[in-house]
Amino acid sequence: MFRKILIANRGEIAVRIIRAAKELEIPTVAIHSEADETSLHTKLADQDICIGPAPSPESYLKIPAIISAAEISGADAIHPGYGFLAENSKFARICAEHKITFIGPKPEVIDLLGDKATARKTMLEVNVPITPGTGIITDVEDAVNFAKEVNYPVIVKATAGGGGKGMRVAWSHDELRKIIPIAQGEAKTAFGNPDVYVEKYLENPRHIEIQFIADNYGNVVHLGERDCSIQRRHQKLIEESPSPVLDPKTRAEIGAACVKGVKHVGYTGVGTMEFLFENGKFFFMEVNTRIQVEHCVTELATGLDILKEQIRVAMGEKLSFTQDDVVFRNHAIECRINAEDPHMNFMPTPGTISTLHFPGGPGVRIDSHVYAGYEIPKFYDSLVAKLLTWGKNREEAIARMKRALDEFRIEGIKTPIPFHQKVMDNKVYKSGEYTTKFLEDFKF
Amino acid sequence: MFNVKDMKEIQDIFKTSDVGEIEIETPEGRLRMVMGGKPAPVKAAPAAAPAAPAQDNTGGAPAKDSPDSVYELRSKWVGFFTRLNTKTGEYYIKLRDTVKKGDIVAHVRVLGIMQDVIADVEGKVKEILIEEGQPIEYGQPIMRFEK
Repeated sequence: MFRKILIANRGEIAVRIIRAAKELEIPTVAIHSEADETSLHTKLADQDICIGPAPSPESYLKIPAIISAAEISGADAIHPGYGFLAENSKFARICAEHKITFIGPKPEVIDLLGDKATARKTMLEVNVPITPGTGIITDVEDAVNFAKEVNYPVIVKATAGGGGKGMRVAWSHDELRKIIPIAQGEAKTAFGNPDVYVEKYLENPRHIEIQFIADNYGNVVHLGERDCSIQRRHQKLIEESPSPVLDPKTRAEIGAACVKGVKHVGYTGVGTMEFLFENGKFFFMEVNTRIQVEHCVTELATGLDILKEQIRVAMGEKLSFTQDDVVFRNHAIECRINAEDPHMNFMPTPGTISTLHFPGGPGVRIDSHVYAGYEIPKFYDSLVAKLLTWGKNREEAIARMKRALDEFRIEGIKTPIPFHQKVMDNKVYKSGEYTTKFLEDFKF
Repeated sequence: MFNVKDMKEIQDIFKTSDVGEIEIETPEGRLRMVMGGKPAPVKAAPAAAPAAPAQDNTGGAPAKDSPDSVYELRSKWVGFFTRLNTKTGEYYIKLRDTVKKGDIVAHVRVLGIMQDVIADVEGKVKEILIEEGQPIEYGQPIMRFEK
């Protein structure tokens, strides 16, 4: 049993982690920057410690301050949430050096999967389907030869990138030869590593990811897929589980492939394997070695508490369920409510929330850290709330989401609620036949 | 040293005011009494003290109640507070000492490493707000100086 968990994060995920810890009767300590003095997570935790000024590099990314906060509070475990230090293997190593359990996979696994080119190669070893691609490009002509084999378009990706960053598409040899040095320069600046690789670019795929969890004893279970194809500039806006286009047989196959890949790298903890899905085929993209924003979608679809299970597994317990125990009982949808104006190109609109009324009733869940009177700091991401609905089928989940969006009242900031309302009424979305190109054609 | 009558008088102060903590230093010794017997929690300063502005890199701020004459030195680290000079084993400063700008007045022990707490102003030590060995957070007021 952990003596105390320190949450090295903020906002809604910090609240989520504290809730799971409370249910497990584990005390918590919240760390915060000066800008988050009034944030909800500091009020819900048993203890809160200010670790620095507002800018993230001086607070939420400042490893010595975070470890020191663990030392003075007596925390023996740190949950890194998502973003910030969640996939920072150096942080995971430093935790281990201080005898603090980092609630996440081992640093070597984070490193292996964090290098995208190596992750691809590793998955290929156990026949996880991957997008045709190259290794690290040392000679531009190798990339050109590859493009000749698979035909254009191809996409140049930074090996240290991920989450949609550091990617450029090429449609011809000339373009590819020009793009590679540019992409290498951008990668060096953004990630400190200029290495790039090239993949066949899928022009109209869906983004389907598999949630999994592994304990320290070699047991790995997948919790099904989430369809996250509704994205704007590679940022997810709406997610659902199950995907409208997967049948149980396909789900079982890709789930099994995911479990094989996860076991192959000796993964422990929760994670998500992301795929592109086109013409009935899966193509491995990357593994996210952390809890994700949209994990709640899977919680509602399966009835399982992923956060509590993540903490239990980190404490050395065996997984409390087997693959056979995982049943996809509901259809669940999530709409991300950010402080952004959908009429102004989703421009961030931080400010003070003057009026707030969350929707409720059957099949509605809200994960949020905001309250009426809360001033959203301008230093961090703009996620204000996650609105989720579930139902016995997709139609009911959509009907509940429409109702919940109509009930939702939030003033003082702009949010994409009108955008989500329009999507829920959209013929293509309702048919389930959407792809990652949905928003390009969507008139709003 | 303090006698029973003194202690009773101090207790009355607690009962009849908002005072939660008293520290008294005399030539004979020092007495500290805390209301309710609980040690100061590891939390930010009481509401009366202003929040340090986000751009303030010095870690200090003038105290709210005396805009110009009193200066509040705040912690730039998370760790354990100590007033001891590790080389000499003596306190760097006591109440009513005069410090110059740039003087080391204390340390915060961060993961075993002593970080210097440096006076940002010249002044007299008016109050020491943190106990020896107490855990301290970023921005927590450490001392007040009379400029």
